[in-house]
Amino acid sequence: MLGSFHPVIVHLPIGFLLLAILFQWIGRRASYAHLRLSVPVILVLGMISALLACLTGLAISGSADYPEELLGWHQWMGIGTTLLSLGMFWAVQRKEARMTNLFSVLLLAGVTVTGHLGGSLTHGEDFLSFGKAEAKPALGPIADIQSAHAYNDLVQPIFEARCVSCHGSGKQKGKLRLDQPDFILNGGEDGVVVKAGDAENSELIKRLLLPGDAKKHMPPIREAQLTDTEISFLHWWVRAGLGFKQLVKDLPQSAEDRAVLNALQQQSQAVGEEGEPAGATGRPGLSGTKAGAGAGVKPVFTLKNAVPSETVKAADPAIIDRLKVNGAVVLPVNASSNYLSVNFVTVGKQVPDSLLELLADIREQLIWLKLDEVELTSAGYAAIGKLDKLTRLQISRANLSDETIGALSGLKNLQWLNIAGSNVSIEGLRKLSSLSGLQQLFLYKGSLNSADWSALQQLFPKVQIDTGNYRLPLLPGDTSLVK
Amino acid sequence: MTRDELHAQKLLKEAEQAHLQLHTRRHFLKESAMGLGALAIGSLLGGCGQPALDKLAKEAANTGFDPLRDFDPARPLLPKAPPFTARAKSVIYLHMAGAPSQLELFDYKPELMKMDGQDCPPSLLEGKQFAFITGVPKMLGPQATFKQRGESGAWISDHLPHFSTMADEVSFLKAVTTDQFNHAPAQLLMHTGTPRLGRPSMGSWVTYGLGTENQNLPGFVVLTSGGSFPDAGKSVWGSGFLPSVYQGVQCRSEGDPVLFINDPKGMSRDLRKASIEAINQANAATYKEYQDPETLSRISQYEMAFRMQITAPEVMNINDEPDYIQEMYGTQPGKSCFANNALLARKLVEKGVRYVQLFDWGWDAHGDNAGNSLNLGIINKYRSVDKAMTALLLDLKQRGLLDETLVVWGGEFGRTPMMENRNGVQNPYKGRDHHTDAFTLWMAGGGIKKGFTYGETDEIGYSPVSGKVEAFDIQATILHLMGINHETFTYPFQGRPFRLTDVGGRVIEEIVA
Repeated sequence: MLGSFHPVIVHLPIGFLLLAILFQWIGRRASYAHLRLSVPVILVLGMISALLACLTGLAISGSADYPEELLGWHQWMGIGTTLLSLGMFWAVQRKEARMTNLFSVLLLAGVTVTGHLGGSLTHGEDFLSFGKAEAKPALGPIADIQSAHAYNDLVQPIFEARCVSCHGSGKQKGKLRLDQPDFILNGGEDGVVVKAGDAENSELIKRLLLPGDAKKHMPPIREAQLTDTEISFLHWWVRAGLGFKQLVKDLPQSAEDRAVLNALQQQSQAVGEEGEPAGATGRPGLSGTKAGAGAGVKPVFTLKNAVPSETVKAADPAIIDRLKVNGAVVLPVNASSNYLSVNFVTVGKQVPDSLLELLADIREQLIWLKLDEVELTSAGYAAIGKLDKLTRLQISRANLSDETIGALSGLKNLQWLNIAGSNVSIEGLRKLSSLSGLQQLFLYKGSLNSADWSALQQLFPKVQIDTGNYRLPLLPGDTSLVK
Repeated sequence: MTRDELHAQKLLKEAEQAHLQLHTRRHFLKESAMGLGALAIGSLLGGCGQPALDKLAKEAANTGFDPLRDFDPARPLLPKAPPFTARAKSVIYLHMAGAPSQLELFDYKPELMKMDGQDCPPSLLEGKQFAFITGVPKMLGPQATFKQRGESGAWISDHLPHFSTMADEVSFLKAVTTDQFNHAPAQLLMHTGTPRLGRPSMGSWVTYGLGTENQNLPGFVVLTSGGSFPDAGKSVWGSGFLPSVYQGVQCRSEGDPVLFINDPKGMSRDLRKASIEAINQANAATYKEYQDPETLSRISQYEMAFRMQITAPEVMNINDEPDYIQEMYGTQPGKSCFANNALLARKLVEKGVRYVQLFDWGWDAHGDNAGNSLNLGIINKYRSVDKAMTALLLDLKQRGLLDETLVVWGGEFGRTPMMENRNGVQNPYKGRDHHTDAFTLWMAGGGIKKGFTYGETDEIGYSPVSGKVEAFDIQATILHLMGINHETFTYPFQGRPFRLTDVGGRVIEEIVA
């Protein structure tokens, strides 16, 4: 609780210390020399508030999920700045002119850098609001989209559901409000966000289309996302000239646009029945990656990372031969390693339980297992569930179900799990929440719906989840030729 | 005697004589004099190659990786573990044959726009030779609108609207160079490590070293589109001096994937099996007599072909894919096109094929006719690959395959910042000549950094300024990602060990995650 005052209190030392430096420097001119008299007092106030900021900062650092490296820098720079203010106070009191100058410059740098780091930590994060927005359908059922009012019935409800909590009357992040037409047209601190007829160059549309893990992607990935259809709809609305007063049918629309509108109508009617998971709505990279991991190059999980560092004794060659005779591909992960990868690519659809049970004999060595397009019995899944050294497991396009998936819950070393194309619901996935080392999870074509997405993120907060179902829009150039 | 009978008799005689030649002492001595001499010299000079061989032996002993020792002529494609843990298990190489223009796609040069229409400064022409440019050509500004894409801010032009969304998935190499300004030698250099014929291609090296996980399919598949083969012909996927079983198997995306894969009418599978067994028995007898390992390869090829008759039509049939996948790639079922091949590539890699090589012909943007003009025909080339290559990346990604599949996209060289003036006369359409000094290539997946750019060219895209890489470096990097050290991965031929990267090559660690 103490920690939540940090964002309020930090502004005090920033203000006090900058003022002290400012007075110190202005006071160099004889006509303003009297300002210097107040420098020690302001410095003391700055020191006390800086100390408070440090304490509240330490309190909040443990309670939220910030990028560790950035947090460390911010913390030590903050403490350093507090000490520098003490140093400057000492120099001022001793009337050491050169030391005072030196400390004032250092202090200025300290305050600036610490403040900037703190800003970076909270940038884009809505960290003071308690309780996150639930992913709720933006639109109620629409009977006939063509006779709907484009702005009042469609655009505004979408903005209301997805954007206004940060860009409305309560908060205006980036000085942008999206709750009324005037504000929408005014734009935010970086200028206009929608250009009538030019969706490609409209900042609002651009940010919606950025990959989900991009810093500037909107809405922030932890908030409710727009569905692909909603984005396509807004794209059309901007392209069609930002109709605030017209009905949908009065705005220009191509055949493709009509398809988008129909899809939106269908989506609105399907609400409550079944929909795509919000995070899987097709835009490239919109999968639920963890935000805030630092800018620049994104983490890449490689096969190379999925080999344990400790050594292991060699597996029984007789077992390996028996697996090979039955069509399994058994290979060391590299020529000098005893760790094994097994691929059932040429075994066929029906994998006999006896073959899977054989894997128990190479349990110590088996770290990668791949079964694609297979039908296994529950005994077969149970056999796989005993292979607790596995770091990578692919059981894709298989008959894995909510019942059988429980068998995998004991695979505690699993880093990478691909169960794409399996009929597993969120209830089944709950059984995997014990997989603490999991980094990547592939759920393409699973039986999940939009309501499951937030639950999924809660279940696997640290996991990069890919629900696939990517779609590419059909552009005019895709099917036409230049002549 | 009829003509046919005469012909048959002649053939029989030739065969008998050929057979006799294998037996006569005189023939043996005559034919092998040079060979024996070479053998003698080889052993006399044997010390020369020793340090290199020692290094190889050492690495083989350390890592247990020795494809030559593990080469089983009866089952040459058995999978083998790489010497080091791989980052990629498969490669999909998308080669835009004819060389796409970096200046219209990825290498954004506003300065070049300012020079548009001016005479080329003499400093760019001194001591240079071009395929077609003679005299003083005019400069040609970018024929595209560029934007920065994604979080990485990579420049990609509007010609690739779909691929633009992938900027944060790939690593760009912006300063690739080559020393070959004609298509065929440049393609050979890119894929075999030499501009001349006769060396094994990268896919052959990789399948020789690592085999392939699915014994019912070839390990190295080649798919072509664009209406023509690459200029270097089938040598770009040849096996050179490696056993011939490692050459790329060219599959068609139109009609039967492999010619004659279906049994002819009236031939049952049992009869096919019986005939293959008979042929293999004859081959086995030949092998017993002459001990030529190529005979065993031949036997295994027959066996694989027989297995492939069942597997290949299923894997190679893109019609079974759901509609939304077909739409995502933009396939044209029944036709031969890049989109079909891209989807096929995904299906093959999913089934464990080691190396899939795509060639798409028609990128040679000279501007001497409308079809290869930067403002007409070449725009259609962009459109024909943009959606499909984007779909390929996304499709691999959602299936969890992009982690272990390396995707490479590029041409054999770049295009000049000058407008082509063939024989000193300005071409009728806007086009660019072959350019060796700088071009762009991208890689994705399989242990490659996401959203990264390495290398930079000068302000008009003429020469590299930093991060220059050449074909050997790209080859070294691909082998590295597959878990192989390109310096010790060799094959003995003509008395010395040969490498894909000859005596060059540096792993481009900068783009490896």
